[in-house]
Amino acid sequence: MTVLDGTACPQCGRPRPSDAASGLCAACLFAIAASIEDEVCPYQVLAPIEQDAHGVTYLAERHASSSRGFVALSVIAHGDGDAILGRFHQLRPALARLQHPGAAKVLDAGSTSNGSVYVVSEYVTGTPLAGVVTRQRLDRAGLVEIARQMTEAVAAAHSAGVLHLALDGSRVKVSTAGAPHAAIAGFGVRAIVEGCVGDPDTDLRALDALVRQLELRT
Amino acid sequence: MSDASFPPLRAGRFATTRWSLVLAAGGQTDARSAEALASLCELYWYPIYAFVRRQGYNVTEAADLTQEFFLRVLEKNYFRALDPARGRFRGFLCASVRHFLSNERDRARSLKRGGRRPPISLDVETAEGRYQLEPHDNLTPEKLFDRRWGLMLLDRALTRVARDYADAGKAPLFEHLKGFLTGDSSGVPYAEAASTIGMSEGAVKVAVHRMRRHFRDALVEQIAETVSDPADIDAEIAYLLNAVS
Repeated sequence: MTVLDGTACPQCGRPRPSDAASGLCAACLFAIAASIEDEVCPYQVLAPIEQDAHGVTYLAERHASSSRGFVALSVIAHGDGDAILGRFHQLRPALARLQHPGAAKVLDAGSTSNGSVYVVSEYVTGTPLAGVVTRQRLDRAGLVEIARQMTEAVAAAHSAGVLHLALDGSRVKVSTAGAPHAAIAGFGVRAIVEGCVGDPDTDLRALDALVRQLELRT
Repeated sequence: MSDASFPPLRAGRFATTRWSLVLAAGGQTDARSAEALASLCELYWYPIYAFVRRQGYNVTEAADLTQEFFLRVLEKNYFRALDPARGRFRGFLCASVRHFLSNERDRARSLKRGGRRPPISLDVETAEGRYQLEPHDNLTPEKLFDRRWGLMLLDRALTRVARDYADAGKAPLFEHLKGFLTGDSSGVPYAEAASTIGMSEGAVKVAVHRMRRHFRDALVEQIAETVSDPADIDAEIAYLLNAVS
């Protein structure tokens, strides 16, 4: 794949050889290769959590992190890596705007030296919402509080420009140690991994179903 | 853990390279090492031809000497006589051809004399056509050899990247973004490229980053075939950067 080009490289100023590979500056190509370090995944995988259509999600933590914060790291087995990373890049400002204790969002995405693409989300602990309801671990006031927190989390995410698009009971984790606290996992995942362009109403309908589920049991 | 876009280029790349196979054989009869050496010679014959031509030999002499040189190299005993830079195939070949020419200058060509079958397929017309494009500067045969070596490696690496993109159904993406590999895209900003190919600017930046990494891995894979120690790869990249500058 040789292209004739006898001009100077606008990047480094060196003359490009007349049969430079693809018309590209040979010195710049070697310089680029020399400047790229092996990309090491900055997360340490601890244990698998779940497997779905996208791949396997692991409990992980960041290497050399001063705080012991766990994350959920999904290794994407099926999907266009370039597109996933591009969508993450695009959604990043909205994700940065989303700051709510009840909305767990995508934190990071990247690729390792062997080309694997991963998406990192805040890891949420607690009992799945369905379990809390079934086991009647909260009184009516507690359930109302959970409903309020979920509603606030969805509103905060929408206000920031981040949709969930896969909201169901399995995504809501409730902590009942002390004051009840609900957190919704996975904001931004579907948009980034699948490229879904959804509608806020999708989340609102799902939220409505979840709240109804709470009211039905009280 | 694999990206669906491309096969992992670097997986197991250092297990057994062709050059390490040759060195491991240590000049002993070994079909695998002989085959490995022959294939390396097939890939990298042009820098030898250019070296010989730059030494002042005419087209016919250079073609004969190149064939004769490879015939000698492919004879097992040649390894024991020469080992100044055995760690890298490039260094081995360059030192070997220099040594060969100093001994061969006044001797009749055994290849012609014996009528043996040429060890590599050398298209003299193509080789000479390429040689005529070489800059008429003061490059010594050694510097020309190194420069040619570096350009060949780049060409192979880029061809590999182009093929991988085509296999992944992304040939148009490669064509649109390859200019960004060097940071030089003839003045076309990311936003303009994004608009042309229907991607966001952020997505283009990510795609360029990934393409550069893929290119780097392809280049490393090519170089890894010609060094005996993986630790030499970065030094070889730095050496070749200087050689083509």
